[in-house]
Order: sequence, then C-alpha cells, then structure tokens
Amino acid sequence: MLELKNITKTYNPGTVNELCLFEDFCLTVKDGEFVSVVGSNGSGKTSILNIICGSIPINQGEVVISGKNIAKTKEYNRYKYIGRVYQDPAVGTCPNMTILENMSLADNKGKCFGLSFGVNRKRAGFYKSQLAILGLGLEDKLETKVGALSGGQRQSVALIMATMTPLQFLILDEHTAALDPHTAEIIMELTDKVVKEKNLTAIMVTHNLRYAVEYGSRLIMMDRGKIVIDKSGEEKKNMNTDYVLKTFNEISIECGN
Amino acid sequence: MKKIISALMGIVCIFALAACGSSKPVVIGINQYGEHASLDNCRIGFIQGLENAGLVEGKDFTLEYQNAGFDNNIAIQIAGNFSSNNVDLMCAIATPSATACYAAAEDKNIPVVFVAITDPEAAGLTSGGITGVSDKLAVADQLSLISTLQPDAKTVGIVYTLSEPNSVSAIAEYESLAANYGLTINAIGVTAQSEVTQAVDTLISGGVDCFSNLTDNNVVGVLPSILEKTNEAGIPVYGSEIEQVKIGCVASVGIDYVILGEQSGAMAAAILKGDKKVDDIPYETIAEYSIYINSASLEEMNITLPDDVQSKAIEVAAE
Amino acid sequence: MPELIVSTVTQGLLYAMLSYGIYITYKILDFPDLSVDGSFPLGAAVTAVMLANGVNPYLTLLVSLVVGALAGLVTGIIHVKFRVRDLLAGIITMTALFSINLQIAGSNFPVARATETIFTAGPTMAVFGSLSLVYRKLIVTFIVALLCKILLDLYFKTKSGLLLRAVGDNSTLVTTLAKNKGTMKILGLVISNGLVALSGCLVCQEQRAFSSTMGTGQMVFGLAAVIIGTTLFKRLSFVKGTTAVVIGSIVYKACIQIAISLGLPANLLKLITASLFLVILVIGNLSKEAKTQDA
Repeated sequence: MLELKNITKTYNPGTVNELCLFEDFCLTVKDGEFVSVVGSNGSGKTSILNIICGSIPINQGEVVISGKNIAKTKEYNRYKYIGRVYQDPAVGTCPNMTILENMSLADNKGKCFGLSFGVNRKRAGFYKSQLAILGLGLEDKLETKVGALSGGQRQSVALIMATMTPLQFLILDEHTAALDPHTAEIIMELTDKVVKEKNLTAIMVTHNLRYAVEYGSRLIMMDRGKIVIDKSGEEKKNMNTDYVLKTFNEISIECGN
Repeated sequence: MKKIISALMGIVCIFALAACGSSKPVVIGINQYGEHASLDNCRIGFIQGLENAGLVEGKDFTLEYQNAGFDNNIAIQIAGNFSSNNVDLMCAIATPSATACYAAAEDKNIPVVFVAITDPEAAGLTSGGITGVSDKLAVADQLSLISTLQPDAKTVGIVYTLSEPNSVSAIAEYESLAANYGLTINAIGVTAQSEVTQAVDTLISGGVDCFSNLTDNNVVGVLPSILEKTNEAGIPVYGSEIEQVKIGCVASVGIDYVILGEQSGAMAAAILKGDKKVDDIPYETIAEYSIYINSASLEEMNITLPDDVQSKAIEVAAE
Repeated sequence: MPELIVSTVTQGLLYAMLSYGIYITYKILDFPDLSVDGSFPLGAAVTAVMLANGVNPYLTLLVSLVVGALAGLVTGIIHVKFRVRDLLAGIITMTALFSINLQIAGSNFPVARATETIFTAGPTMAVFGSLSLVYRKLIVTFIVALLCKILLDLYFKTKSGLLLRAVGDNSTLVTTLAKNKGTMKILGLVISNGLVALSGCLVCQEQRAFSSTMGTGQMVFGLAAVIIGTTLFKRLSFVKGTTAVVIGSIVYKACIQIAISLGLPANLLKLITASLFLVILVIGNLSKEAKTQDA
C-alpha cells in the first residue's frame, strides 16, 4: 500500500518562478489498484511519480510504502520495490546490449551484481516465455542489440524488464506517449495483461483520456496540485470519456487556457 | 584494411633494407630531442668533430638524423628504429634521447655517444656502452660575472622546469653558491613551456635585479618573448650559452655548443676507427668556459664592462 | 629487419593496458578521464623506486595496479561525492599526481642495467633466455597484455561487468535497477587507472627510466588508439573491443615508425603521423559504409 501524506512541494523557492505545487497533498493507493492519473501540463501528475520514486525532494510530508516512510531513502534504493517504465523508449533499455543481456540485468534486480556470470543461459527459456507474452516474436531475437529494435518493441521489452522481478508497484510514466497510435494500443493492452497476470499495483500517468477511462480500476484527474476527480470501482466503470473531457475543459477554461 | 597495413609495412621494409644495405660506410644515427639553436649546434659540432678526425661523410660514414620534436615517446621510437636497423653508433642529443638510446642499446653492441647532458651521473648514463660530453653549467663563474657587471644587484631571478633534472641540480648549485657573491636566488619552477612567461612576469613584479638562464629547453624555447618583457622592464638577462646571447641576452659564461659537439664527435670518431672502446672513454665536461657579451644589449641596460672582462670577452654579433 | 616490426609491436603492446583503461572510461563509461596523465607515470615512479630497492620485478606489476587503482578511486570520489565534473575531477587528480610523482622518484630516476626487470629476471630467462632481449620484451609484454585482456573480457561477462557496461550505455536504467550508478562509475575508474599504471610500470622497466614528464599526452595517445581501433573494427561484437584497442595502439606506434623510417624531414613527423591517422579513419568509415550498402 502506498500513502502520500501531507506532501508540500514548492518549486524554485525564493525566485520569480516560485510555485507551491502541492500543499498538504494526500493520496492513498491500495494494493492491487490500477490507478490512471490524468491532468494538464503542470497539474502535478508527473511530480507525484517523481516524488514517489525520489527523483525530486519534498519540503514536507511522508511517502509511506507498506507502513515504512521512505522519504529519506535514496532514489536508487527505492527502486528495490518499484518498477518504472518511462515515456522515452530509449530510457528503459540499454541500446548497445542484446535483449538477452538486458533481460539478464533486469532478472538480477534486487540481488548482488557480483562476479558470477552475467548472462545465465539456463534462464533463457524463462526469458523467452516472458517475451512470448508480448506476442511480438521477440523471443526469437534474444541476441539482437536492443538499439536495432523499433520504439514499440523497445518499450515492450522495457515493460517486461520492469515487471520481471517481484514489485510492490509499477510506475508507468506516460509510457505510450511517444509511440504511434497502433503501437500504443498494443503496449496498452500488454500493460493491462501484465498487470492483471502478475496482480500488480500500478500507477499510470497518461495524456490519453480514453486509456485512462478504459484501463485500470481507478481514475484521478489532477489540476494545479489538487485532485479534482477520483473515481474507482463501479463509478469508474460507468464513466465515459466525454465526462472526463468536459471536466478537463472546464478547469482549463477557469485557468484561462 | 589489413592488406594496406601490410603493404605499408612492406614499404618500410624496403626502405630500411636500402638504408642498411651492404654499403661500407658506417651508419650513425643521430637522435636529437628537439630543434633549438643549442641542440642544433650540438649536431653541427658533432659532425664537425667526425670530420676533424679525418672521416668523410658519404665515404666513411652516413648519417641518419631524426628529431623527436620534444616528445619522449618519439625519442623512444627513434632509438628503437636505430637499434633495430643495427646502426654502428648512436649519437644522442639531450637527456631524453640519451635515455632512450641507452635503453635501445641494451644487450646490443651499439655504442652511444651523448652530447649535452648536464648531469650524466643522475641520469645513470655513465657506463655500459655510453659516453659523451656534459654541458654542466659554470654556475660559480656566472654568479661572478653577474656580480661584476651589476655590483648593486641583490636578487637573481631564474625560471626552470621542475621535471628537468639538469635544471633541478643547477638550481641547487646556484642556491648554495649565491651568497658567496652577495646574491640571493629567486627561482620559480614550471611544469610546461606555456607557464614560462607567466613565471617571468611574477619575478619581474617581485623585483629581481636580473635573470639568469639554465640550459632549460622550455625556457630557451621561448627566450625571445621573455626578452621582450625584460627589456621593457629594464632587467638584464644572462644567458647560459652563446646562442642566447646572440638572441639578446646581455652576457653569458657559457659553452659553445658547437665546440661541445666537436668534442663528442672526436670521441665517436675514435670509437668508429677502432682506436678506443666506448667503455674506455669516461664522459668529459668542457674544460674552459668562455664569456660572451652582446654590446648592444649591454648598452640598452646601461651596463659598462670593466676592462678586465672586456679583454676576455667574446663579442657576439648582435641580431 | 623483422626486428623493427618486433620493436614497434612491442611498443604498441606496452601501451595496451593503457588502451584498455581508456577504453573502459572513455568508451564504456563515457567519462573523459585525464587522471591517466598522472596515473601512468605513477606506475612508473613506484616501479623505479621499488626496483632500485631490490623488490621483485614481477611484484612491481601488482603494486602499480594497486596504486593506479587508488588514483582512480580519488578521481571517482571527487566526481561522485564532491560532484565535480568528470573532466575537472581528472585534471585535479592528474595535477596532484605530478607533485606526488616528483616526491616519489624525483624528476628522473634511472634503473641501472644491473637491476633485474621482468625482461631480464630469473624466471623469464629460464623460459626465454635463448631469445635476444628484443624478442623477450615482445613475448613478456604480449603475455601481460593477453592476460589482462582475458581477465577483462571475462569480467565484462560477469554481472558486475554487465552493470558497468549498462552505466555507460544508460545510467538511468541502472538507477531503475536499484543500483547506485555513482559506485559503478568509481569502480570503472578504479579498474581503468590500475591498468594505466600497469602500462607505466612496463614502460619504466622497458626503458629502464622514470621521467616525470612521461605522462604528458598519454590521454591523447590512448584516445587515438581507442578511436583508431574501434573504428577499424566497428562491425565486430563487443568482446572484440579489447582486441580492437590493442591493435589501435600498435597501429598508432606503427604510423610513427613508418614516418620515422621513411626518412622524411624530421619536423614534419607529427604532420605525417596525423595524415596517416586520417587515412586509417577514413578507410575505416568507408568500409563501414560499404557494409551497409551491401546490406
């Protein structure tokens, strides 16, 4: 379970651009929830992710995972229980290493990176089965350098890599935004499949209102650091994109956009 | 790709074969550390020394001259080249070249004759198939000259390269003898040629009465620009050998590097003729130092020569 | 005649460890590490002093590895903990090492012929005593370079080695894998500078001398060797990277030797060498284009 308690975050304090984005912000995500977060630029949706992962510091508040406050934990240590897929397909994998090598790296997450052999060929069968879920034929291309794959293929590999080892939850950071509509569709379906199969808790930030409505068990819309829509369960199932879009436009008009 | 490298290597082979063919003249490899007037004079003198001994270029000997552009690594490869081609004698001008030639001659029967190493003992180049002539500075004589020409002078400024052993040992000698002449030394050590002029500026603003040069390759290499500054400030510069006085230093107790080279050439000739073995020739230093003066520079600095100096001194043609 | 080729190849092999080191920092970690100009002579300085004090020449190989590693550690800490830029961190270490090297061995430190080196010591003579010194230098240096290459290649196959490659390829991924990329960078610098100092140790034994200026320009040389090597062998898979840079080092030395042997005007030596490099790099790029056109 993830709890953001009384988070206060001010950007550029003491300058002309000072912006207090979050003030006493609270959010709780229960185990097994698949949360979609939408909002305009600057609403704070990406900031939430960065605060959870530790990329940006907070002025006040607590980030609690399963009862433990991790606000002081270093960023790389937080990733022991978090998996993350980034918007840029290039960031989730190592381009000059093969799929097999990338998978081996991800497989070793959380364990010691010592002097034993990096690529365990005995696990190749396991990697193939993981890649087979994607249905893209990548399981036959284990020795291909990742840099040679297309954006969509790289993002799929990144998704599998991020979910290969046990996680507390998965962060999806606009991970379909850089893909063409067809590939984005495939990745989204795969994401849903993987999350369901592995029973993951997931937080997905997206610009695509349709995805936010169609996938996931809970929808949150952010506006200037506050939650304006928070629907889950049955309420969410009955939502449609028009409603979300209307609210989106309303707050945009209020801001004078 | 590999073919092209093999072809190039093949060309190298042909050239080298042609070079060390079956000709009768002995082959002398000259490994000069870099080009500046003093080192060039060494080479000219060396060749002169061979000829003075009756050897004729083209008939009795041929020369292979390479200069390393002040790059240690190139000096090493030049020495390697000479060694691999089994030259009959290596002439090394300046310490880095000598060290390289000495290493390349290990376990081979190629004698090495060096020119212009200030402290052969410190460089470990006194025996084992090597000999030559040292250009140790006449520190006492130089200090004496300075105190004679500038009786009121108190401080002598010296710029030197920290990593040149010749310079470091010379500084030590300067500092131990200066008091005898009523002088103190203000010395600044640099690590590269680019720092020399800055060091000069520092010494000028620090108020030195004159500068004295060592046989420091970095300093000598930028001597003209140093002289520009010191002339403007009205501070005389004493060189360490004749070429520097020609360029504009007021005076120098020094070595004529051509004569130095000739001495080495004579040694080399004796070895090549078979008169002496290289190990039987201990290294030499120049016996007598000369005083060189540049009247024009002296006049600019308002220094008048006492008569006894005037009679001994060698006038150097001003630029 | 072949002796010229032998001595040139030996020169290239002496600097093979330095090329491995720069391969790790420059190519793999994408970190321009100037401390190399200081750690190379550091290896030579401690070697010269140790040999003069009767230390076993084979032991000096290990000691220079360690002192070089320490130098790399310093650069790494300055960069990671004190957040100094990569280039500047290396410059700081290099500058400090200049003074340290002078303290250790003075400005010049010859190794007398009577002192045994790895090329003349008992064990070497026992196996290769029948060969001339030139060939012994070649073989001993080749063995050291080969050993280092094998160990390095093996290391890159381990989990730690894989992670090191990842740091240079995509450091964000390393963080996402819950590892500290700063620590991995330091590890890379440690290994690299250890190897560089080992090169310095070998050169000191081959030349029988330490000179405090012998580090100047080694970074530039190493970069040239790495770039020439990797350009010439671009199409081969990763493991061959270490082989490529050794060949780059030999090619560099060969270019200089060709310029020397052609007997062309001495002052033009560096211009000629630069032209040869250009020719090699252009040929390397042309063959790469031809490959892609065929495909």
